[in-house]
Amino acid sequence: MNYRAQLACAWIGIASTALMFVGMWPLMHFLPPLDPALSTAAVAAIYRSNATGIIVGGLCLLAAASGVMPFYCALAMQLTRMEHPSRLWTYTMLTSAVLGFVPLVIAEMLFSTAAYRPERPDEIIQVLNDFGFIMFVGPSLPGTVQLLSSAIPVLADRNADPIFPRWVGYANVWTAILATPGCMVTLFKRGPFAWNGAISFWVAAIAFGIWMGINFWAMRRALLRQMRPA
Amino acid sequence: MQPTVPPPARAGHVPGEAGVWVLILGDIFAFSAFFAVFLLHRAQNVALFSVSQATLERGFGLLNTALLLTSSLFVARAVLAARAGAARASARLLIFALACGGGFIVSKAFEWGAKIASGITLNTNEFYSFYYMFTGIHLVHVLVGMGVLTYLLARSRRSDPGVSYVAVMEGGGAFWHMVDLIWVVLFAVFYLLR
Repeated sequence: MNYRAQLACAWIGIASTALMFVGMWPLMHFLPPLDPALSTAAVAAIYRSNATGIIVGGLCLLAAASGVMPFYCALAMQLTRMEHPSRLWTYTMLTSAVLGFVPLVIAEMLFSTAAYRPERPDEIIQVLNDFGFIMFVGPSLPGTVQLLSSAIPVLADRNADPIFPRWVGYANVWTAILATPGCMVTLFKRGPFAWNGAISFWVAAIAFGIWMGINFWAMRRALLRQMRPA
Repeated sequence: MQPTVPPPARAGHVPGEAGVWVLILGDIFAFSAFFAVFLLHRAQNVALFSVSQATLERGFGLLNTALLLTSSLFVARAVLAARAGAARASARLLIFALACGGGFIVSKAFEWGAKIASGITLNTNEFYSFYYMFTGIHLVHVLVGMGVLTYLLARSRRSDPGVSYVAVMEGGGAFWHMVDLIWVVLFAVFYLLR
């Protein structure tokens, strides 16, 4: 088996998550996200003053969203071992992971479109910015399904020596709950549930980071065991 | 004379299994953070929050609290019955617990319905945003918890509930008590805090 390749995929996922952070923070200056209550002129001024940073940061997001896919596939390899011979939750996890990251790619393109011709009227830039952030934070429900479907096989694992520790399954359920309220962003322009809010953005982002870290650790642990000569 | 072997010290018993507490304590931690966010926003605008809070129906809040506390009592007794090997009695008690949970949902529907009919909705002001969102997130927990109780009921009705039966009952029961506990704090913070 290609255990080393799987381990490399797990590391690529961690590197991609770091790249997402680099794109968002020093390049796009979107960490914290732009305030949805900003005036139209203020939003347009931000795009005009940092057009190149936003476009290059967007490319980082594109690379990051592409780079987490091998991570999910490596995780899927472990999930199939847990639920063998079924593939039900593995397939659910993979398809919902893709569905969860497509909006990130679209958000990146919307930010880049706004920065592509920053001389456009302020209102148009604001529409693209709104659409971008709503795409970026709003579609949290595929993420909920992805996180839950990474929990079920862990908890239902019938192997004598479980592939992942059971607490990882419960931790995955917990992150699924925390990631969910992001879907309400279109209802709010300020406060903790807006797209820059404490609960819809920060709690969800930290929950995703915790999920990545825990599942990377569990995956690496399982792979090192598989590599050990029997 | 035979040397008497001292009985082994009773190892600390963790209800359910250790892992389920990652979820339960994690959820309690998350709600604590939510309440901290609420209190920070409240501190910036105490007058608005107090005026808005006065419009909440304490009667509904009290009824909700009574329903959940009663359901928790039924669940606790169901766990005791399961430990004693009386799975049928557990099943009966779980039905009562589920009925209380259903009552909570109906009462919440009436409470929200009356608020919406009087023109108070999600974006009326900051207080009501918190009110609808937090009670809504809690309601999702009630629904998940009722799903857990339904699973426990199905397990209790099996001819052979299995070796893990008592641990499953304890873990599921602990989750329901957490849903109850969060409501009690939510009730205090939203309906009673002055």
